[in-house]
Amino acid sequence: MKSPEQKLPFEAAWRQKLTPADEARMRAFLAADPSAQPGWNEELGLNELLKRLHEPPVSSNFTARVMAVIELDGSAGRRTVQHGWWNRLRSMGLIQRAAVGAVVLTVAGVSFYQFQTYSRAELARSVVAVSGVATLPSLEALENFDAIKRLRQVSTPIDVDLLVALQ
Amino acid sequence: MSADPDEDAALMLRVKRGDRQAFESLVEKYKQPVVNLIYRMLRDEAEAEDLAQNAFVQVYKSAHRYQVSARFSTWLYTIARNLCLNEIRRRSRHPADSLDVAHPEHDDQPLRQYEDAKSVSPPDTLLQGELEEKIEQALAALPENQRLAVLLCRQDELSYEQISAVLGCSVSATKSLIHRGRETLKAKLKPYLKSGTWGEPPK
Repeated sequence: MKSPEQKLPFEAAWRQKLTPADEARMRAFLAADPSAQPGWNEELGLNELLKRLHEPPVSSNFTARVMAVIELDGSAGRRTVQHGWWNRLRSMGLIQRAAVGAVVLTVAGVSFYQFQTYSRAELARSVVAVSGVATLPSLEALENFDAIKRLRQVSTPIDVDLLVALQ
Repeated sequence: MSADPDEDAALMLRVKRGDRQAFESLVEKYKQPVVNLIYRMLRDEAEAEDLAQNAFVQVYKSAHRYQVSARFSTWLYTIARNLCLNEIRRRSRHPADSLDVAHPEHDDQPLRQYEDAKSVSPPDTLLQGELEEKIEQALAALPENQRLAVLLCRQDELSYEQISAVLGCSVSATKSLIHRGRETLKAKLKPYLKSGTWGEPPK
């Protein structure tokens, strides 16, 4: 296991190009510890082997194809906006549609709950308004109500003589 | 390829404003290194180009989120890395196609054809090809994170901090991955290592 000081110059070998500072440090390190030379050579050897890996050719129309996809996606986006939400929903994946559906149901559920709460509140307010009216008379009074009502319905002429006498 | 972060940032800011020509410049600059990286991860040239194109398209679509503080190359390689890992996982769930499957348009030909280098190559080319194959095999045998760390380390324009950002781990963990990957490669390719130059393959 290399110590941090020993690893430092070897780390420098990991990059393709050594900076002048790295080279100077490497030379100083190897001068101080010649036994590290084989290890250093292995690192350089591996770099040489990795350089031999061929680079796969890139198609001459690579950039044009990237831009074509971008253009196509842009056009599809504009058509989606023109044709509205339905086409956008249809273009979504299953999970996205489920998420949209869940949001719609949640909003609908919250709206319905709030409507019910409001309706109950309104009903409660009207009940309170009604309860402010004078309390109903007792049952006995109501039983006599019919009799009282009949009495009041009888139309009696005013007894003028009685009025004069009373005065 | 020398990466001037200021130049890349200036181009990305133009892309952010809808300048497609600026984006084309970035694609031209980075297409080879991105294809190289993806190819080394997947060992499939056609797939590497497709995924590289996807990486650039994703960058363009996300351009509105670009911040100058983020290095463009780090961002691009991170997207490429994620696409590679997704493809590797997808392949592990769906086994590779049989080599005997017929081409959909030409029944007398296999779906995939491979050049038989042994039949036409001169001896030196054959040795080169064998060596390259050994290196490819050794690299492919590394765990994904070590392979990616070793490959990114070869991109001189990326600092260890940027490599660690792509890998999603600390700088010390990144250096550890690179070290372990290189030690494994050296062990497997020891017969071919000779004082910084490659020697003849063992007989």
